Amino acid sequence: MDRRDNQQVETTKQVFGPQTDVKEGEKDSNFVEENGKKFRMPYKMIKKVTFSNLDQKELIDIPHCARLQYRLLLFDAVIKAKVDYHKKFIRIIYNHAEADNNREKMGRKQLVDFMAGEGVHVKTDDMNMVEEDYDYYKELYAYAYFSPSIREAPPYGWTREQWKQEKVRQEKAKYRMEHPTFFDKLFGKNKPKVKKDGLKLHP
Amino acid sequence: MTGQSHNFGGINEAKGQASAEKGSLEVEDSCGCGGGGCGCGGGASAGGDDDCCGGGKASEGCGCGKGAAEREESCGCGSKVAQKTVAFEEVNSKRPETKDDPNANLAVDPVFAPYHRTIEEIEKMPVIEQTMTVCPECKLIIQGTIYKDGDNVMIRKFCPEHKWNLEKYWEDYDMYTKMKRYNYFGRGLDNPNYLGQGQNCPFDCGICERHKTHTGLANVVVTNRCHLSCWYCFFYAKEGEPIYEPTVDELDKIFRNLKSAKPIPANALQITGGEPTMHPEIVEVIRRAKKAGFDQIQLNTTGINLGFDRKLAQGIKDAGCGTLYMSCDGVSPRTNPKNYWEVPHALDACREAGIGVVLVPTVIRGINEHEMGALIDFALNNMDVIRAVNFQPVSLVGRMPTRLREKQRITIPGAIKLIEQQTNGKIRKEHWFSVPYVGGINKFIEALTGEYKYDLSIHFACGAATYLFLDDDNEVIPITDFVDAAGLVETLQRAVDEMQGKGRLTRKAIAMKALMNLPKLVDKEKQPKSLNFGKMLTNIFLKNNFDAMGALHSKSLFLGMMHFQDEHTYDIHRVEKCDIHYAMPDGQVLPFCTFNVFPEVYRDKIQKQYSIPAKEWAKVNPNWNYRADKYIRDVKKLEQDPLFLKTYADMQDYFAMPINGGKPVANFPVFKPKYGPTAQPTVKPVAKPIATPVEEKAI
Repeated sequence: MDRRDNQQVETTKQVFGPQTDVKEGEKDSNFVEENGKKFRMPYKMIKKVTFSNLDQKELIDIPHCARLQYRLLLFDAVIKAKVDYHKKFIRIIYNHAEADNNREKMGRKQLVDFMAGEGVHVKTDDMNMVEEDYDYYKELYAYAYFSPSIREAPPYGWTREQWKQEKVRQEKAKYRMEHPTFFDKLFGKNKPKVKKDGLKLHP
Repeated sequence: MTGQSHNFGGINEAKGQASAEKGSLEVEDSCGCGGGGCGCGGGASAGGDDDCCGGGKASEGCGCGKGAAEREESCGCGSKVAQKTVAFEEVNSKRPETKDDPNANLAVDPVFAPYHRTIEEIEKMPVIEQTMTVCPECKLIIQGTIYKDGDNVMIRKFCPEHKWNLEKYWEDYDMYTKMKRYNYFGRGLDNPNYLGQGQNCPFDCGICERHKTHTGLANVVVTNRCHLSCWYCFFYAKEGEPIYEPTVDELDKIFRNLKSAKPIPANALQITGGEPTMHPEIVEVIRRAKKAGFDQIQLNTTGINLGFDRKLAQGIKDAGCGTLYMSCDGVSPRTNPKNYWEVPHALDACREAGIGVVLVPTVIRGINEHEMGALIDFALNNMDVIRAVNFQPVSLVGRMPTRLREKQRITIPGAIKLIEQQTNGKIRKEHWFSVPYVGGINKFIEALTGEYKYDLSIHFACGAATYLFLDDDNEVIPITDFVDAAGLVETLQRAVDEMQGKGRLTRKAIAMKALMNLPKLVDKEKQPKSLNFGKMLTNIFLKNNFDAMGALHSKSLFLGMMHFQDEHTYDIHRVEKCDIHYAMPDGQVLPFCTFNVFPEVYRDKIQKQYSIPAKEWAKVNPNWNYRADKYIRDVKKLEQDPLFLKTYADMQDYFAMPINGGKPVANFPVFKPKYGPTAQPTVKPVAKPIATPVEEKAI
């Protein structure tokens, strides 16, 4: 789990903690409910399978990995796929045969056979394959809608250090604009020069 | 959805075309697209003519002047089934054909020669740069070599399985080098919507952290239903296909997702489809988008529904939509079969409601490339409502014969050079700048203020633009005739470099010094009399006041070019810099050229996941049926409409005026009404003719 996974868990908890109590059977299975509003949700619990320790010779190179990924994605039942040449793994998020939805489904064996047809022979023993439940809503959908920041780029013409200081100044100015002091109100002086809607300047 | 790209993947060529040709009566003589079904609706409806009423104008359908339903019941020709088939498919549903000249020597023809060289010859050509691309057949990521072939810039690639593939990348080497100067790498999102470093780009999309721009223009599909059935369009649901139509709440969530992007949230939104006005709650959708904080909301539409429903036009304006992004491929029925007859109504509705219009012609060589000058003329005639013409050289997505691809391919400089020819050299290639040019201005403001600004850091080969001014004496003046645009950006860039690492006060001093030089870059003698450009620049830079920019837009016509990619021209360096994004219902955001070039793994796949099967849709919407969705055109009635006559017959050819070169624009619409009062094309007298003695003699 890398830095982003940690952030993801936090964000998901923060955002969806009180809202994800939609129980199967209570609501229409094609929807989830957030704040009383219904949203179409094609999948709920699906599967994530990771095949690791692959033979790099079979993967050939990054372009061939990308093409295999593309070919996996051509299956309607494959929702996401990742073929990593350097880390020698293939991760597939797919709608497994027993999933509780009416979308296209496929079995793991089908995937394995397909990859074998593409020249990549994955091993399905416990050491080399992990299959786990995957909550489409919490892990993919929710991440995409509430993605956390993973970096911060300064504006053009500013170094990172300068930008740190400038950002503090801007935040203070913004705060002061939103919460003017008595003297600010009285004299209209010391008004911060940063516009509240600074990002909306584009015509 | 305007025809930004053409899909040749699933069209039945032979039989459909044959029947179209058989019945193309009046259309065929005016088609000009090389014979065959003209694509203006003649195809299906013409077939209907044969089966049905035995005559009439192809585009009218069965010629009885009634709608589909009425015809079905009362046409009385005894072939209800045939009518039923043609009625809902007739508008623009057949693809035009182009014929090859068997005597043409393709190795000599300057248009085709770059495609017809030996590999030995090609390998001797000077290489400009290397990039990564995909094999159009198997989608293997392969190296692409961009090289110079005479005046053309070409891309060649070699797939171990499918061998060589050549394609035109850019049709003018000088422009390529000029545009490339403004290329720069922007910033991606701080909070990309998809976990991944984009190692397998473009199959890792979502948007990942490799992407180098924020969302400049966000596209949101509100429905895949459409009232037309254009032969080249792949954006609409055909009969029996699942319906994708998110609810208002779902769309609201997508809008808020776009606004949550960091550091620069999307601020321009294009609501698209299908035909977005077919969403039953389109006004509420726009209202929600406005509420979510989008300053600029465009509606990507054919304009047909708005043209005939003024209340709807006013409703979308009041809800916050300021711009109609309207497909308009030409100014004649043969080039613009989609909405030629309805454009006058759409323009008038927008005029009445106060909505600005952007005309969006998809330019295809051999089909409508000869009418680009005429389209600009048309826009100048309607500058009170038309704000821009955004040409889109065709993106030839999907399988099609190689020869046809070569014939129809046109790139940005190819289109620009034709515009130069068609406008008497008034709008020349040196007047155009690539989109990332604007980045010079953004960077300057950011460096000065420390605030993030909208950053148009797209690839230089993706888009170009210029502004035209129509002066009081009817002279057409491109902006770069009176502004040293290159000098402007160089001055600002020098200032940005100087500001690096400096304190706020020093930055201001540097900026002031740079700004003092700006008026020198404006030629006051040549600038339009109604414009003080120097003052406008000062307002933008010193007061951060963009209202003046609004004034600029209202006095000018923006000309844009946007060339979307296909598998043959695909350049991953371009995709990773794309700022026209599609926001998907699963929260992902996709660049235009992954969304549309690989629909099987992005657009169609995700939309299908969130769609409703047609049968289920029909159950939920009992009054709905596929055929009732379709628009039936009554050409006779439309051509008799005073608005139609006024729009097309009462136009002024600005380029025919001595001050603008004096040569009439090629293919400027010479309207010959077939119905109603005879209207001759008119060239109005110039209000205040300003001509040199020599020009007067010429007159």
